Amino acid sequence: MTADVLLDVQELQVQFRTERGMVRAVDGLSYSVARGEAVAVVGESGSGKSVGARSLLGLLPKTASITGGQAIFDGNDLVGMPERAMRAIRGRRIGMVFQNAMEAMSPTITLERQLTEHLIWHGVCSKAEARERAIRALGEVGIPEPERRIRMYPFQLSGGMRQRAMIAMATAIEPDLLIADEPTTAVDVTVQRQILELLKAQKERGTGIIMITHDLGVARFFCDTAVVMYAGQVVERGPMAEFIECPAHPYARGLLGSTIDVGDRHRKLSVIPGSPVDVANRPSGCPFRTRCALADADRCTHAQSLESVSPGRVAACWRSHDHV
Amino acid sequence: MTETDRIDPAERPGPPDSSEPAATAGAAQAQSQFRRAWTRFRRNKLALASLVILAALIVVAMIAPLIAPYGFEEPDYENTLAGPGTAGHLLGTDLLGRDLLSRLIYSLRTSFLVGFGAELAALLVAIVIGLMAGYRGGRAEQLLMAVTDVMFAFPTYLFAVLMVAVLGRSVGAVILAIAIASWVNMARLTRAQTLTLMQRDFVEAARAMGAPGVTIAVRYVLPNAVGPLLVAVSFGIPAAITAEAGLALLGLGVQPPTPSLGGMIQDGISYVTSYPNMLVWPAVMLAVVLLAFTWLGDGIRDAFDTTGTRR
Repeated sequence: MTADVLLDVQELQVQFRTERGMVRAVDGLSYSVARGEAVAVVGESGSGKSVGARSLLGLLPKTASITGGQAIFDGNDLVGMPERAMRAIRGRRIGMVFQNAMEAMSPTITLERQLTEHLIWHGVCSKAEARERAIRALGEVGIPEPERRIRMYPFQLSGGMRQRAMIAMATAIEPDLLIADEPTTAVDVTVQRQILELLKAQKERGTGIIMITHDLGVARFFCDTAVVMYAGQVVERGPMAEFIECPAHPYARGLLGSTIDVGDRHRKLSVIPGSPVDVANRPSGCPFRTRCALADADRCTHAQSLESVSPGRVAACWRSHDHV
Repeated sequence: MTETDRIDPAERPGPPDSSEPAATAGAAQAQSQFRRAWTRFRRNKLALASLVILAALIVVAMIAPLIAPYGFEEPDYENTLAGPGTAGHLLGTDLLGRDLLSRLIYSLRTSFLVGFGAELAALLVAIVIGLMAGYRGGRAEQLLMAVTDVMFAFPTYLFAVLMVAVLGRSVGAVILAIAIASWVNMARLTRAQTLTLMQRDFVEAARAMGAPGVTIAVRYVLPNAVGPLLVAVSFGIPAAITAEAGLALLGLGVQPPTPSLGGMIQDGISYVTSYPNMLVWPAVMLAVVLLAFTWLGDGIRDAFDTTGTRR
């Protein structure tokens, strides 16, 4: 752990109350984010990547709760933090970028209010100054004529502009940590690139970033660290470059194999057989064994713990050494 | 609700910016949700006509003392029970020779006062309790549910009768009685809207930005519930006017001699066979008011209904 570690998540557990009993949506999530570091949390839908990040800010639905672990942010544990203290962190110290900006902005509020209100209620600056800052932030994310556009409603902007406006909304206050929950999923590819560049610029300013995505192509663009989740568990974690080079966990390999590479049209896209495991009905041992080509009836029915495969790299598979 | 006047219509975007065509296309047409709703509302001629008629009647009611030819309790003993068209009494007179046109104008005043007053009072209470019940749950929700159960056990109307019995028959008391009898449904609507809106991402986004609960409820949830609430109000006002008329028929309406549409109808019923005009004018007026409110409400509902399709 270096001194500039911003967030250290250890063994985070989140459970949902459902008709079928308690379901572990996140089961032992650990990672850390330093200043200026971008961590990509990758996985399929339902792998717990989004729930894991939202639980940090206490933004879970009423049926869910954190049942274990800790998340030390700047010396304080976010888990179990009182609402008042949490509110001072939300939006101020930790910003959040949502998947769909259209949905994440109230249709009855102008961009100006959308972008300045939190500056004011966090007591960062006066109303007039907040307006200046909001206009500057809009300009920085490449929105032309920000003075005019700030008076518009979200539905009057194009999808790409809205998404950029939302990044401006989260970054105008200069948070220490930015959680980006699938920020490029709802926009088309030409905009995707712009969004990623903006997030990269934030990172270069020293903001820590947690990037939640299912797209490794997006994740590798500027993220330093990869955290691969499957069925609420971390199956592999390590530096992005090494991970892309040779993923250690069979699931991570499958994920990488099914990523589209436009430059190489000869490469065959692989598919991970089956569908994501039902977390309410988890198999014993390795959760991936039901879909894994390498599954071994003896070894895989035992729980797999995260083992070091190379310096700074861990994977939860007894065969992970075979591939590194 | 001041959204509309914050935007200057002259501030519409200029020529299309080639890189962002969608932005300008959307902006050229509409500004706030109210402006968009108004654009749609205007196309509905029936609703627009209703709005004009109601506005005219409201103006008449407001300036009643200026335009009514006589006071509402000013007798003309020479001309009792005069028919329509009698010199000096366009619509005729009643048993005491009171001018029916004047009484009709003052009746409108009472009925609008009761309708708007009761609905406004009910709306304010309903918004506060409905928002709290939906947003926070807890005590407000328990209170709302308990009161709802009690209200469902009574017919609303009977409840209003009981309230008048307790509170008396002044205009204020009748307004209060009707408001108390009718706020519950509105509060339930507010709560239901709140619960729906809280599922929306922008509420979560506001929380993620660190917004205090009250801010979220008032600035993010409430403005998005205005459409349905406005529709409910536009149907609630005529319901309150009808409720007052119903109370008047039972002899429990606004205390005479203050005239109300219901009171005048009640007076007229006794003489319907010999002097039908005493009944016809207030009945027609009540029908016009109720019909106009119904069409207006339909128009508002349609105007806000399509908001969702633009997303």
